[in-house]
Amino acid sequence: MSYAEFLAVFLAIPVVAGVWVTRGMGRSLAFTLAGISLLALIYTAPWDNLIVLNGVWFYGPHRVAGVILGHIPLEEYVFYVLQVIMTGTLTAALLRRR
Amino acid sequence: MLGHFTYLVFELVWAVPVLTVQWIVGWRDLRAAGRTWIAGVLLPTVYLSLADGVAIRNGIWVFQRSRILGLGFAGVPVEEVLFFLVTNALVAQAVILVFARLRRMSAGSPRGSSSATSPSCLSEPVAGSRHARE
Repeated sequence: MSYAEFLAVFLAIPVVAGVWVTRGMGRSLAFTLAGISLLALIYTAPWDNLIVLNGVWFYGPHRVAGVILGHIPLEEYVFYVLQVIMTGTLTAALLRRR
Repeated sequence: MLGHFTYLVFELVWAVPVLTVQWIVGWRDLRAAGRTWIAGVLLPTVYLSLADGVAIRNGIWVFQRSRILGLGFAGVPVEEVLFFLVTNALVAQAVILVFARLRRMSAGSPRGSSSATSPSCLSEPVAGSRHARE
């Protein structure tokens, strides 16, 4: 299983479900999650690069597509955004139910 | 330099300041979120920790044993579980705080209910709503 396939199976499916469940919540949720995604990218990318430089983990060379930004593969940045949408839509759906 | 504590120290130094600011700014709203907070943080944390085990077994990412504590379960380092815990808390708390703020703004402004950014789906106050129902 490649990193991209991992994202498609384990992140994209709950993201699609979360977006579907919260589709009636309008632009406020979309703007909120876009903002959090941007902050997540800005705040996490330098940290993630530093931690890989410090040898905490490495990526399987045959598991990533090969687009490396800094020291980490493109898939990792996609992970941040998908995680924000997954957890963000879940939290918004729970808030609406209260 | 940090040896087995490298990953743990990196993630605590990175996440704890932001989590602290979120709690200082919005402790009332976060506390009032109650079970929403618990489910919004813990469900994705358990799920992503299990998914992480699949990624690790597939060799998508490989940890250096000299940089982690060596504790964990099913091949998932405890630092990974903590990572998902703090990142999901950052996201869920940001959503709770933004929606609490938007709700107050729309409640405070007479034109707020027609605003495009108004979370009209949130029909009751975020803070204290649990008490109102109980």
